[in-house]
Amino acid sequence: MLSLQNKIPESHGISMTGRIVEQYQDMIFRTALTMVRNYADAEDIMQEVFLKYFRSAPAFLNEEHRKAWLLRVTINESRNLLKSFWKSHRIDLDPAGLMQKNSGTNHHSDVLEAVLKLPEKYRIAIYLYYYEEYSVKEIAGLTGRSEASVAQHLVRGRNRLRKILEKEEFL
Amino acid sequence: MNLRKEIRKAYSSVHAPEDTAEKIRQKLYQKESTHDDSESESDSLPEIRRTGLGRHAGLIAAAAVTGLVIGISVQSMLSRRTEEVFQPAAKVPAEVTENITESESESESDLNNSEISGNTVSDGEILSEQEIDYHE
Repeated sequence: MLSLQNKIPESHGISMTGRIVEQYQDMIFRTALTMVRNYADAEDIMQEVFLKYFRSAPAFLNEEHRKAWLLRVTINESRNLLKSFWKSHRIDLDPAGLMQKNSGTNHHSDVLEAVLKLPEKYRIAIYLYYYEEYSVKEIAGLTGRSEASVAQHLVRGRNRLRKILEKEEFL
Repeated sequence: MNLRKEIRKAYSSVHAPEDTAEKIRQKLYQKESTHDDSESESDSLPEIRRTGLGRHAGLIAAAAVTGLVIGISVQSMLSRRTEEVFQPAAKVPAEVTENITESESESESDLNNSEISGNTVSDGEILSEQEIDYHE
């Protein structure tokens, strides 16, 4: 992986660029992909989030605070894209775009596709809960929803996911 | 099967494109270079320092022109209206004007009669009373 740390001068206030990108690019990309279900859009969102980060250069209390900020901005950017005229009037040939891009095994890509088939509120809750290991309270803070809603989304999303996977005989 | 484990495995196989850092670096450099270009352009241009009055000169001029235009239009409207009010005779029939003149002459004669009877007080008398009060 290309390190930016030595390539961008410190005078620009982005000496930690390389470390930040390397540390958070996968998390931001996965979050964006979970939201928008498209590799190209997820990549665009990831770049936009990093550019926002480096332009605004916010001060954080700790690493968890930084991570939460990046996740929140990613979710907001993804929602903006989903609400945009272009996205709402576009028909993806391959909605998830996973078949060519995913380098994982078939089983894992199928599980991922099953997650991505869920409604947006369910899949983001499931991703943040099961993969990023956030609590319901933290997910509520990140997504701007109430804790009760998040808990409900988790239960319903989990049930739907089980049904999809059982139907396709993955479980 | 453990759902958490399956989801974690599925997401672990998803990675950001390898050239992400390079793309972000390029975009940041683009931003920086455009910023630098704009700075150099501003340096090459002759320096124009404007005072507070100079900065607002355009606004003041626009306000003055607007005021002038409004004033002229109001004045023209008023003059047109005055002409319409005080020159209605051309549109009124001759019989009506004759009646009006007759009634006016009658009212004038009534007024003269009342003055003769001594009911009204002339301006000269009032002034003289005021003068008396002042001297007292």
